[in-house]
Amino acid sequence: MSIRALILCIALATLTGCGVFGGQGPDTAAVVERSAALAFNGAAVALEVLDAREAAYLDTLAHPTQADLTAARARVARLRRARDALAIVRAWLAGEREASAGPELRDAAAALRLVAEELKSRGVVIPDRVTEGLALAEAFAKVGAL
Amino acid sequence: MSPRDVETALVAAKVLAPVIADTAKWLKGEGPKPPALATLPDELQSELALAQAELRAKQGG
Repeated sequence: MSIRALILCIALATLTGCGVFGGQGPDTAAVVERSAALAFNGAAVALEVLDAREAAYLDTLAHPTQADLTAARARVARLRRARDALAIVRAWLAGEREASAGPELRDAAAALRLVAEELKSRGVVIPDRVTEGLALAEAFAKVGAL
Repeated sequence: MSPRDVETALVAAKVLAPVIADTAKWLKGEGPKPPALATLPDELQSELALAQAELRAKQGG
């Protein structure tokens, strides 16, 4: 997502959500922080759903082949990477600002996106809330200010 | 800006709008504090499921 798209996104959200016409806007830093928290929550939901879908998919494989297992190991490793990256983002949002959260959010979203696409290619249904959560995480990861 | 960027922006804006509205109300003292951060699992269900699948493959092979 480009910076222009992100600006459009925030502008649209502000116009539709804050009553900007005639109303007083909220504190910008607080809105950015809450929006970043929303992006984190979206990615966390995506992780939870994809983890459950991956587990359910693996349970359906009565006699998994080596190819099945190799692909599954890669997906599960991506889920673990996303979980660890999101833990850093969560710590940032909770006030531990030593590390930059933007790259971690981007890495988590990229890993989850790959898992979602591969599970989908294997016939696993991916709910809309996963797509929406990842879209938010990807949008805020582009800001680079986190 | 690609069509996918526009689509992503629209989805994000749609989801963001109520949160920003809630935040604005909270800052004005007119509403409750927005929801807290989600928790993350310590263990992944898929790690356990993978270990079981590896076991089934070993027993079957």
